Amino acid sequence: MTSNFKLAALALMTMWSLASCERVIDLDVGENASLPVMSFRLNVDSGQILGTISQSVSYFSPEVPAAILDATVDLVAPDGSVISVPSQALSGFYVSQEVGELFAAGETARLEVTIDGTTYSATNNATNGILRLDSLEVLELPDFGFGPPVPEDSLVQDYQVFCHFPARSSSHNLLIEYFVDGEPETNTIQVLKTTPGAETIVPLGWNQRFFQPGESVLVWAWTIPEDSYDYWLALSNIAGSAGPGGVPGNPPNHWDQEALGHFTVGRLDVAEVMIED
Amino acid sequence: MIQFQFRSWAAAALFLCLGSLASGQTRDRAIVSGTVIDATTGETLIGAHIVSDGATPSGTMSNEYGYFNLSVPADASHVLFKYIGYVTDTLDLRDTPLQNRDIQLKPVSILTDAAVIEAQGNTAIEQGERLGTLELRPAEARSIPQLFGERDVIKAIQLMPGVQATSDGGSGFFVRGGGADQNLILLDEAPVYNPSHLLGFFSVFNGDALNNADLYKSGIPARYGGRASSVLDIRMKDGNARKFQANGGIGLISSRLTVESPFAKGRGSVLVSGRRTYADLFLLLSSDTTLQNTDLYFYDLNAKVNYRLNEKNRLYLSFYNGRDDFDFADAFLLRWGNRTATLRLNSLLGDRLFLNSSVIWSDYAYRFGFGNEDFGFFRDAGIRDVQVKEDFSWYAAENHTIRFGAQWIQHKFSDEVSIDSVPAPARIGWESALYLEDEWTLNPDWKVNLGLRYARFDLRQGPIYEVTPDGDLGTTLESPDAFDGSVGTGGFEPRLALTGALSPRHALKFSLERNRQFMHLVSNSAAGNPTDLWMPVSNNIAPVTADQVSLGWSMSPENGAWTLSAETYYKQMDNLLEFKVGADVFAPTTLETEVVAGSGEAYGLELYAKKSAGDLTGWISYTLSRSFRTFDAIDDGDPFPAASDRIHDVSIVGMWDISPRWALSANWVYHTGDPATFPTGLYTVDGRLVPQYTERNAGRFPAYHRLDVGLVLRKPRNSVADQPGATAWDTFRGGEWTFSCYNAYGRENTYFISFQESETTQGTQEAVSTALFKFVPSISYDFKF
Repeated sequence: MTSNFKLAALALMTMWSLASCERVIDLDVGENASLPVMSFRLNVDSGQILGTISQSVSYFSPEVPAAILDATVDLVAPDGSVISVPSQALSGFYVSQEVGELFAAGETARLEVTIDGTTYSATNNATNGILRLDSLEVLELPDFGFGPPVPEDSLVQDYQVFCHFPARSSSHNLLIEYFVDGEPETNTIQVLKTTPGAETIVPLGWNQRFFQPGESVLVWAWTIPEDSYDYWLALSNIAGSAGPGGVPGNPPNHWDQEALGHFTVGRLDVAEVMIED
Repeated sequence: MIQFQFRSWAAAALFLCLGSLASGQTRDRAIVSGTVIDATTGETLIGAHIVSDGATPSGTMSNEYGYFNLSVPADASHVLFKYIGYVTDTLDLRDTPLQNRDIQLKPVSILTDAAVIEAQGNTAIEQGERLGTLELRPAEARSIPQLFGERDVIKAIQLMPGVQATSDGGSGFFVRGGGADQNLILLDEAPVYNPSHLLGFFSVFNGDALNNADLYKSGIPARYGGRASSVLDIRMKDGNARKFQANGGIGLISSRLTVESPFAKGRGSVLVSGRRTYADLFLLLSSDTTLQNTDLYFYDLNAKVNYRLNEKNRLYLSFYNGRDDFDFADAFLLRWGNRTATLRLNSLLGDRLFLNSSVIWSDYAYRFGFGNEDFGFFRDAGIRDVQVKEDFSWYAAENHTIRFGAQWIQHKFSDEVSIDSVPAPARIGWESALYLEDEWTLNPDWKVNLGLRYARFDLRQGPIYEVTPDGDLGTTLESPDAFDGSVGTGGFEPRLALTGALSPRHALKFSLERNRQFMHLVSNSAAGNPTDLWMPVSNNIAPVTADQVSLGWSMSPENGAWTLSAETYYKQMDNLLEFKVGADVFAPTTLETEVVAGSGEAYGLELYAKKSAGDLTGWISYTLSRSFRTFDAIDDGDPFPAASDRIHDVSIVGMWDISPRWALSANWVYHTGDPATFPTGLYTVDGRLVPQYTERNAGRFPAYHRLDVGLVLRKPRNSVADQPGATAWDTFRGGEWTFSCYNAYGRENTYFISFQESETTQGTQEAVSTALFKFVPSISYDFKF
């Protein structure tokens, strides 16, 4: 009797194996419109401008997006003065210049990028104030009782890092980035709005990144305007979500012509912590 | 673009209608009324044609409860009763009584000769009235080969023109470019919010328990409302009122059993029908304890009781409970189910007034989560309705049937997440409607159905979310009372359907209508998931309105052996929702901040040829259609193809009765690939690799096509089965085997496309198509005794 059941089970499983299948297909997605990708940040307090320029490449080709260094980049301050942003060998565009009160809250900064004779322009407004980090808290990771099994002989203890922000009467838009032992972590993009009147506590990496003793964690907390928040929020939901279930599409375009990337005008606070046993 | 001036034409039409009613002649005309039923089972026959003879014949159809009321001209001597699959019956008007009669039609046997079928050809006007409506009886669905050998009404309807399955093997469907949430699916008047089992591969409708299914694509009568695109009205069987009967089937995936019986000397009957899958039973054979502790099944239970209280009152109670359970050894679970209950009272109030009173309850709920009760994440969500409805049919004059009524529904929308310290309060809304409808026979060749519906929705309880101009969440108010604005909306929905016979064999139908929908199913997949959330209209979300104009033509020879039809339509939809780019689809405080509103338009041409007599029957259906959406917040306001945009859609269905024992059937379907948004490029942003996408839905999946074949071996009933003294076993030995293969030539139709780094060419991406079903053979045995 048991063998009959097993035979039936085998037949059922064989049928299912006939059912589902995967195969590589030639998908006609049309020609890729290769667009310039210009990603720039301006820290209005320090006067630092940092950015990269590249060109998008075909999704199905082995090309790697190459940096463009022969472009002209100018920052136009609200008073009309122009700050030139030179290219740095291999590392994109960077300048640090004393800007004083040039970008007061609500003032508009304009960035102009000229590539092969075509000028792209993006504007963004300085935020009203900055939300500074109160502290970084390191906590031992608890055992939740579910998830992937942990080997019993594992001696490595995992830790989480929590960013504490103070309560404020108005909401702020935050972009949180971090570096581990000097290397940027780019797997997740953490962008959020704080709740007015409440302290904000954010685990680095949205509970997906655990840290080990000996690691040095540097946190950048950007307070960013609405346009930048929309861009980073869209990017955080899109990056890596090409499979089913996502809502695919390009994030909002900050540029006056068809282009990719962003121009983020923010205020930056920095903190660092060492993970210890 | 169409902008109906509804108020003016609706007022004019009602004025004309009422003027005509005032002059309606009823003198010297006899009234014939009663219920059309199956002579062998006592089952009511819905939509039977009733027509008188005489110089100016009059006609009508039996309603949703089998009831009819016909005013016949003075020179008429007979009334004919016609129903597809049944022998036409004739009533001599000299027979008395003429009112409140049971008209018993005998089903055509398998060995029916063509002459009987020939007698059933409908007139042009009768054919024309069906344009815009798809009518399917479960018996028809039985012959069509389907996935896993099931006989599914919804899968059969998906083979009709203007109706498309949302996904391979799925139970969801699009009608004329509308969304999958725009179809009102009713089971004995109770709304069914998720018609799918097993992630959509089975519908919740067990064919053994069903009597009739009508899908209204256009010309939707005013008595229906609440969805923008269509109404699928499914009626359960009442149960055999003549004798005890049982039938069922044993299949590879599931088995089912239905029992029916009369009681109280035939004054009432009862039906109980159940179905369950048993894939999880095989998991018990596994040596893996995880698999042993895994649940994987669904079940359905349908039950119905009806009882004739007296000559003028009949009571019905129907019930449905269905449940899906996928519980992976306490690590992950997904459970969902629909439950409905309907209590109805049919009453004859005098000679000309029919009343149906209903109290309806419907509940759809799902639970999704992982972990255990101490440490885990669980989401419990759903929608629960309580509904009261009154529907009057007043057979006011020989050329007017007036329908009017009222409906009130309380919807309760719940969504609780276990990690929230305070459970989210449910939102409660009231949907109410009044309608008036006149089926007006202008002359023997022209009929018009004029209707006006007023529907309204008011949010009564639950949180109100204020959304900032930037689209972010602002203040959350505890209840609508705290909100300084409107949380209610409503409006008129005019309906017009004009049918005319151009000649004895040709008919035209023109319809114009508005439908309004007060809830949205927010989904990030075209096919739909059990975990999709129904969301009511609110201070931020407006109701969907859909205006449709449709024109159809049909022709049929006198013997009714085949039918040709062509229909064209244009539909405009407003206040549709889509997720905005990069929306948080999993855990926002409210989805109202994650969606954007826009409009849509759909148009198309549907061609249909059906052969319904002879050994070879079937149909060919072709739909040429487009469906677009326009959202200011998506692609700079440029129109983009909707998920339902399939340019070409073909279905060919053939059923061949080779002999009394053998029958062969096949269907082939083809449609343009589904629209999708693909990445075409890659770029980096601050060290992150990001896909560059086309405009929304600018790409397409490969074209879809498949062939299904089925072979039926009928074992004839035992010759003594119908003899006096025959036992149940004598009857039981008559059954039928069905062998079928879904996707017989193994087409790997794309279910979804993912992208991965190529294994053969490093550093490049490749598209991977996942197909769900290659060959799915099945075998089942059906029995009846």
